[in-house]
Amino acid sequence: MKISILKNNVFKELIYTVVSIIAMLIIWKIVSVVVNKEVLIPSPEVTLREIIRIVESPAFFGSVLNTSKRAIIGFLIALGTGMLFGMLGGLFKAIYYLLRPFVLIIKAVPTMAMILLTLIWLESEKAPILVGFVVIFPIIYENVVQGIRNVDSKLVEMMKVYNINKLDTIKELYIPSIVSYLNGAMSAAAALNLKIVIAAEVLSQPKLSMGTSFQMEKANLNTAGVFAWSLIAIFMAGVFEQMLRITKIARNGKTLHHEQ
Amino acid sequence: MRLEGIYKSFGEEEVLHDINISINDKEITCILGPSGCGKSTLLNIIAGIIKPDKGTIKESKKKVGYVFQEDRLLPWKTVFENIKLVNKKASDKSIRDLIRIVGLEDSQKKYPAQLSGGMRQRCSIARAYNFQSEILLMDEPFKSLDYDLRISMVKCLIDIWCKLNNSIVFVTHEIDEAVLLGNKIIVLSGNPCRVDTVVNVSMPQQERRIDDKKMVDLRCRLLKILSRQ
Ligand SMILES: Nc1ncnc2c1ncn2[C@@H]1O[C@H](COP(=O)(O)OP(=O)(O)OP(=O)(O)O)[C@@H](O)[C@H]1O
Ligand SMILES: [Mg+2]
Repeated sequence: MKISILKNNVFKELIYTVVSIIAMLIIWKIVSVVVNKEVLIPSPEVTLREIIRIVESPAFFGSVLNTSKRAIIGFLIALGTGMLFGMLGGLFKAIYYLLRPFVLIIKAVPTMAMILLTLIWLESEKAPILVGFVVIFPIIYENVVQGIRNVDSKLVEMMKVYNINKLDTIKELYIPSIVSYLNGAMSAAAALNLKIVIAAEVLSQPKLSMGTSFQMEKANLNTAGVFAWSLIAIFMAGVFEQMLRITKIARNGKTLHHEQ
Repeated sequence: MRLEGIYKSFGEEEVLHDINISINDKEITCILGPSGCGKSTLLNIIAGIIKPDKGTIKESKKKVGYVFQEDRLLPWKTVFENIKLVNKKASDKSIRDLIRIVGLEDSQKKYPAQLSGGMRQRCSIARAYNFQSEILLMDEPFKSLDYDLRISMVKCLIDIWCKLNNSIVFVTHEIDEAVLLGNKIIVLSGNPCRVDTVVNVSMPQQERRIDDKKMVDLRCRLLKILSRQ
């Protein structure tokens, strides 16, 4: 019975998604007809043709791969360090206050300034990773700190009474609590990270990347190409989010009931 | 273990007032008292979770098992894993035995959210048994269980107690449970909490029957004390 409910929900989700996409395409078409200038708003058909051209071009696979690699590496580093420092900051007030100025500064520096600075410091291939990291680290860090603070104090008491050591308490209580707390923040951070990496690539111009491709289409005044790459980037963000969801479902096999 | 002159207030409200209790080794001490009089607070002090404002605990025990008033299970762990958590060295077989004793053999792979309140409570009891502590604190452990289950859980508790040979502090609202279990029954009065009466029961637990003349008398006596409050 559970499975049929699940299937039904997936089906409904799919229907609504398809309807909204169709509505969006119709609006897009109308706007492009009204504006009637391909350089400003290319029509959906022309954009689709551009997507096909780009996907078939020899540089496509390499660009997507390089950009994905940067996004994933940056994300994993931010996730690892964010979890580590977030847990330290959540558990120990002193560490939280010591880290606070750093986090505040990282958060306050304008993304564009960060991109320019990292370009000065690092080679163009690596700079985008650092920019992505800098933007999403505070998000993950702060969510982990909040997650730790929201851990049920009664469960902490229970672990203490039963003489469960610090390491096991972190493994069995803190990490599972923050993981269920982090889910939302994680997919938002993954999508944001991809956007930031691409933006940094537009400026840093590594040899083969999505950002470089964006810049090339723009230089050629090929607006349809920019639109096409945007759609590809949206699709990739969707894939990343789905990947996080799959890991979540896999874990939910174990924790399903907890999150209901 | 002895509690001497224990005082505890939360803000303005005095909860415990000059509590003097001795908890004898290898005995079951039952605590009866009106709701909100401070029984859980007293157990928390014995467990070392909260500190008394005044007073001392002599000969306190290091290894304390605690069946909390709420189940306090980890939501992402199954019944089996929750019980195993507190004593990783316990064999799987001994854990399965405990699960059978509390009547959860069909649910050992389930998560707390898939269990009823009474089932969760029984899981938390099995967890405390698995810890094999020198002293076991139980805060209304059999609430939300039906009458038959209650009686069978009382019997199991007596068996486990004989096997572990530890001391137990058992908080309850049910006079029957106190009568069947206690070597000593402490009646508390409320607002603030003081020790009202201490009753010692010499008959061994294994021989006690709820319809036994002595037990019926004891029951009446406790009822009288409680209704006087
Ligand atoms: N953490 C706390 N902060 C403030 N007041 C508290 C706290 N814990 C308990 N109290 C107060 O102390 C009193 C005793 O609470 P306690 O939980 O010990 O009662 P109890 O005897 O266990 O009641 P019950 O039988 O309903 O479980 C209550 O009046 C409660 O309001
Ligand atoms: Mg209580």
